[in-house]
Amino acid sequence: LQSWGSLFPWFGLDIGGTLVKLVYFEPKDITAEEEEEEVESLKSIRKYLTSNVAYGSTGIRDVHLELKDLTLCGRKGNLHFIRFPTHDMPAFIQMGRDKNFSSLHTVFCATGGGAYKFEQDFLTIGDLQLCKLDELDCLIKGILYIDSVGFNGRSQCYYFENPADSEKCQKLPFELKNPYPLLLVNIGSGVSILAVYSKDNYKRVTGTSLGGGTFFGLCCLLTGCTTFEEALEMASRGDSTKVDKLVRDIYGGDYERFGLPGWAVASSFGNMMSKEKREAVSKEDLARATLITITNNIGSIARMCALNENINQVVFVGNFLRINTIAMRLLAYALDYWSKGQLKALFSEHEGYFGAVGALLELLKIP
Amino acid sequence: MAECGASGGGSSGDSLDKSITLPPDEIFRNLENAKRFAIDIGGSLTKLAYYSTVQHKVAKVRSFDHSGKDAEQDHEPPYEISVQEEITARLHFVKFENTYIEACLDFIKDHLVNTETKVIQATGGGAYKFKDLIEEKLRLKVDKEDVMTCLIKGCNFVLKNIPQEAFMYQKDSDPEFRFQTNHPNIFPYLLVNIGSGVSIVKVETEDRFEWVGGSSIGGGTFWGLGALLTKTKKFDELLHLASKGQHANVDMLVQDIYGGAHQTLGLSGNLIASSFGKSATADREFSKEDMAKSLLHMISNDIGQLACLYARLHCLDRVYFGGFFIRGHPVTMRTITYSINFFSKGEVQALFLRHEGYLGAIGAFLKGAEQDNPNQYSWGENYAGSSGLMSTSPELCPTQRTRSGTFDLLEMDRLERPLVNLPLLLDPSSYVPDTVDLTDDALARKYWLTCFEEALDGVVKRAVASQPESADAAERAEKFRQKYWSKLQTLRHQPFAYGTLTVRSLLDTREHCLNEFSFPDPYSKVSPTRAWELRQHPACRPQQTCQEALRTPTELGDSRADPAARRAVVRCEGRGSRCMGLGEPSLLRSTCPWSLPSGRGGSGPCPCPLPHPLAGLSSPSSRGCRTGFLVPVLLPCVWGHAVACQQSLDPLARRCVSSPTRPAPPSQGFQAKCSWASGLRGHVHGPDMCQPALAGQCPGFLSGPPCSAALLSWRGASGRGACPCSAWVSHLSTGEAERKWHRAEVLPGRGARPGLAGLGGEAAGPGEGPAGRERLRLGGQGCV
Repeated sequence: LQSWGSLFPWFGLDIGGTLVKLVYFEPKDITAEEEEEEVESLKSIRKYLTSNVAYGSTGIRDVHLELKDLTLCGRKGNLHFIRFPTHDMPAFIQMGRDKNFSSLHTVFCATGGGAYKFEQDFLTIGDLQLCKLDELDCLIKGILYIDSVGFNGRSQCYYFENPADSEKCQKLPFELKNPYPLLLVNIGSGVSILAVYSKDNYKRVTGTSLGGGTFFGLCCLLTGCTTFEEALEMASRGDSTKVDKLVRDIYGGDYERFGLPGWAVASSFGNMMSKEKREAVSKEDLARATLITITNNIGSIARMCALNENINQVVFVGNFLRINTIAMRLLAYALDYWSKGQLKALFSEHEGYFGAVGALLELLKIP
Repeated sequence: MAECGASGGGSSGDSLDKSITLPPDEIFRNLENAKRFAIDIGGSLTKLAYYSTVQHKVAKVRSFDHSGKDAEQDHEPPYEISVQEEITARLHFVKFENTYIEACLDFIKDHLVNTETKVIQATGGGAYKFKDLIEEKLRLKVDKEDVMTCLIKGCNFVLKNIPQEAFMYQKDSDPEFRFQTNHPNIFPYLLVNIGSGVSIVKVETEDRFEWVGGSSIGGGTFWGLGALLTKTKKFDELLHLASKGQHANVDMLVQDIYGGAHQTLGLSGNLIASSFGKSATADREFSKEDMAKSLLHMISNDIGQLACLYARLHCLDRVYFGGFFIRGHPVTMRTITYSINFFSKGEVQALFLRHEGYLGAIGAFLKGAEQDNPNQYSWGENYAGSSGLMSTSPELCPTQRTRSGTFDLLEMDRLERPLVNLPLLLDPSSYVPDTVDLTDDALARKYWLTCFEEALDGVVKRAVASQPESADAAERAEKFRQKYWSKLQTLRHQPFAYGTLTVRSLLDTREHCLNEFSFPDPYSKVSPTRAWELRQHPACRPQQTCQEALRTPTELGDSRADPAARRAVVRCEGRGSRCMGLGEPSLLRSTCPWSLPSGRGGSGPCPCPLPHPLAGLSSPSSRGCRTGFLVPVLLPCVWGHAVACQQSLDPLARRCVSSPTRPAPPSQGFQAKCSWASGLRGHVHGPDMCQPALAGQCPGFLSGPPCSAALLSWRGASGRGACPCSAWVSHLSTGEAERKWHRAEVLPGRGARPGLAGLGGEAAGPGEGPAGRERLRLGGQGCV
C-alpha cells in the first residue's frame, strides 16, 4: 500500500545559495507489471538521470557517491547524487515543464532557501507544487540516516590521522557509535553550526558568513578563476605564507609568552599591506591564503562553540569540503592542536547532500 | 618653529608627508623639564610619552576662624586668597605618523635639556626597526617592553584615572557616544586588540592577564586584502571607500537565498549569509567601495563573533576594543558594535576607549616608572593640553585635521595622593553629579556654549585684573582667550571630545586653560566679604533629598580600616552646625570656621537634616575607598565649610570630585542628586565663576546668590535634567526669547545679572532687590 508521498519518482531537493543538491532514488526492483504501467515521462526521467553523469553544461552526477542496493520504504534501488549551480534553477524548472513532471502526481520535497525563493516559479512555470521543508531538520535527518546505512559497506564517517604530515597523513574510517552530543558544522556558501543532542533535539548555535561562498567569491576576485575546482586547484599549488603574516614574521619565532607557535598565522593577508610583497605573490598563493583564512576561521569558531557547548566531537559537512582535502586536513589539525587533543574533527563522505537526503526522507515519511 | 624634513615619505605625492612644522608651544611642550621617555611605535603611528614637571601658580584660600564671633557684626572677611608657586608633575603623550619620527627625534634632541635620562622604554611592532635610530638620535638606551603587557598596563591606567574613558558607540542614536561611568572595580574585563591580527586578552587584576585567544582576521586582513581588491594602498582611504559602499552588492544576503519569503520565516533578510557570495562569478564587475564595505563587514562581524564567544566562555560582559583597526573610526566602531549586539543578543557591551591609541605608550612609560608606583597618585586629563577624541579623524572634520596637523596630544596632571569614592555615597557608580548632559541635549548645549563664548570677554578682563602687577597679563589672557575659544569651537563640532559634555566640564576646561597661562584664580581680587554676604541667604537651606544619595553612618559597616579614607574624612563641627569635609587633616579644624552665623541663615543648629556624618568616620568604609575619585566632597549644608575644605584641593582634586555616571533610569521616578562638585567650585571661584555651574543645576537660582538649594537638583521622570524650579522648566519649554532673557542674567559683563553683580559689587540687578530674593526663596522652597 503506497501512500501518495511514495509514488515515483522519488526526489529530494536542497536549493542552497550556490548549489542545488538533488537526490534521486532509482528503483531497481521494478516488476514487469510496473514497467508496463510506468508512464512515459517517468521512464524518460529515469533513463535521463541514470544514463548520464552530466546534465547540460553544469549539472553533475557524483557517481562515486552513489549508494547501491539501498532499501527504502520497502523498495530496493540506487540513490543518486546530483548537483548543479543555483543560477541554473530556471533551466531546471523549464526542464521539469518540458518533461511534463506535473503529470506525475508527485510532490517535490525541497529544502534550503531556494525552496522559498523558487516556489512561485515552480508553480507558475512548471505547474509543480513544492513541499517546503526546514533546512536544519532535513540536514540532521539526512546525516543520521546516511550514517546508519553506511557507504556501500564502508563507513560514512572518517577522520584524519597526522593531518599536518603529508606523508603520514591517513584518512581513516570512524564509526559514530555514540553520535550525541554532536557539533555539526555545515559549510555551504555560509556556515551554520548546530549542537545535536538527540534525534529530535538540536539547536542552531551560531553561524558565520565566512564560508564556501566567501572562499570562492574572493578567489574569483583575486585570481579570476571561474570554478570552485579551479580555485582549489590553484590553492593546491600556492604558498599562503607569502601572503599571510605569521607569528614568526613578527617575533622571529614562537611567541612564548602566549604559547603561540611561529607557524601560526598572525594576520591573514597581513603581508599584503606591503606593496613589494603584493607584487611578489602569485594567484596560486592568493588562492591558498584565501582557503587557509576561511578554513582557519571556521575551525576557530567551531572550536569555541564546542567549548561553550561542552561537546567534543565535531562533524564538518557541506560542499565547501568537496574535493577539498587541504581544508579538511587543516580543520583536523587546527582543532586537535588548539584543543590540545580534546576535540576530534570528523568528516562525512556525502558532504553536501544531507539536506537533500533529508528532504527525500520527508517525502517518504521516514522518521 | 622648526621646519623639519621627515624621513621616508614613500612614493606618496602628498606634500604633507614630506615635511612638517612643529609648533613647540603646542607639541612636545615643556621638553626642557622632560625626563623619562617611552615610545610606542606601531605600524603607522608613533606615540611618544614623557614626564615633566610644571611650575605654575596656585591660588590658596586661607579661611579665618569665626567661632565665638558673630560674623554679621564684625564683617570680617571670611577668607583670604594668596597665590603661590607650585610644582606639579605632568605626563605628556604625543601621537604622530611614523614618517615624522626622525624629524620628531631631532626636535627632541635639540630641545632636551635634562641629561639624567639614560633609557627609553620602547614597545610596539616598530620598536625594533627604529631602535638604532632612537639610540643614535637621543643617545638613550632602548629598553624593549612586551607589547601586550604595555597595552594592558595602559588600559588599566586610563580606566582608573580618566573619567568617562570608555564609551559605547551607537551610530544611529543621538548622541552617538555613550560614555561610561568609571566603575570602582574595573576587573575583570576582556580586551580585544585589533592590530594586524586580533588578540583577545582576559584581564583579571592589575598584574594578571591571560591571552585567551585570537584570530588572524584583523586589521591586516582588511588592509592587505583591501589593497589587493581595490588597489587602494592606504588604510584610511580603504575605510573611506568602505564608508561609501553598499555591501549588499557583493555579499549574499539571506533574502538573496530565500527570495522575498524571509519575512514569513522571521528572518531578517538583510543578514549576510555569505560574505563575498555574489562575487563568485566571472561576468560581473564590482565597485571598490562595495568590496571595501563588504570586507569591513566581514572582518568586523567575525571579530565581534569571536569576542562574544570568548566573553561567554569566560563569563565576561565588558569587552574593550582597541588597536589600529578601531582608532576612533566611526565606521569600524559601528560595525563592531553591531556585530557584538547581534551575536551576544545585547548581553555583551562593546566598549571603546577615548585614549585607545595611547595605551601602549602609557604602559611602556609606567613600566619605566615602576619604582615610583604610579598608584600612589591620581592622574587627571588636562583638557587644555589634550586633543580630544577624534581630533584627527578626517571624516569628521577635515578643517580640524589640517589645523592640528597630524599630531594628537594627551596630557595628564598628577595629584599627589590617590582619590577615592566618597564613602557615604550609596552607590558611587550610579551617582550622577551633572543633571544636564549637554552631549545629549543639543538645545542646552547650544545655549551653554554660547553662554561661555559670550562670557569669555568678561573672564579675560577679570584674569587681567587679578594680576595687576604682572606686565604680560594681558598677553597671557589673550592666549587664554584663543585657547578656550578654540576648545569651545571644537566642542561645538565634537561635543563628545572629552567625554560627556556638561557645564562642569566646560568650567573645568576653562580652568585648565586659565592655569595654562598662569591665571590660577581670576577672581582673587573680588571682595570676599561681598561674596560671603551673598552666601548667607535664607534660601541656602540644605535639602532633605541629600540624604537619599548617602548612606547612614550605620550603613558604613564595619570595614572601615582604609587609612587613606580615614585620613581623608575629617570632622568639622561648628557652632550649632554639622558638616563634613574631606581633605588633608592639617587643613581642617576641630571646629568649623564656617558655621552658620546666627541671625543669617538661621541661628541655632544647622538645619541640615543629614545624620551626623561623623559617627564612625574614624574608620570609613574601605569598600568605597579602594579606587576611583572623590576624596574631597562636601555637604553643602553651609557654604562656608566648603571654603574651609577647599584649601586642600588643587584643581585636579576639584575636578575629580565628581565621578559622573549614567543617569538613573527614568523608571525610578524623581531621584535627587547632590551636586558636590559644583558646590565646591562655587566656593573656590566665588559665585562669579560658578554661576554657570549652579545654573546647570537650576538656573532658577541665577537670579539670586548661589545657595545650597541650587546644588540639589532633580532628575525628572522624563530623564531630562530638570529642576522643579519653575524658571528652568519654563526655560526648557519656551522659545528663544525666554532663553535670551535667561542668558542676559547669566552672562557676566551685562547689567542684568544679579548674582554676578552682587559678587563683583558692580550693578544692582533684580536678584539683589527684595523681589529677587523673594523669588529665590520661593524657588528654593520649591525644590524641597
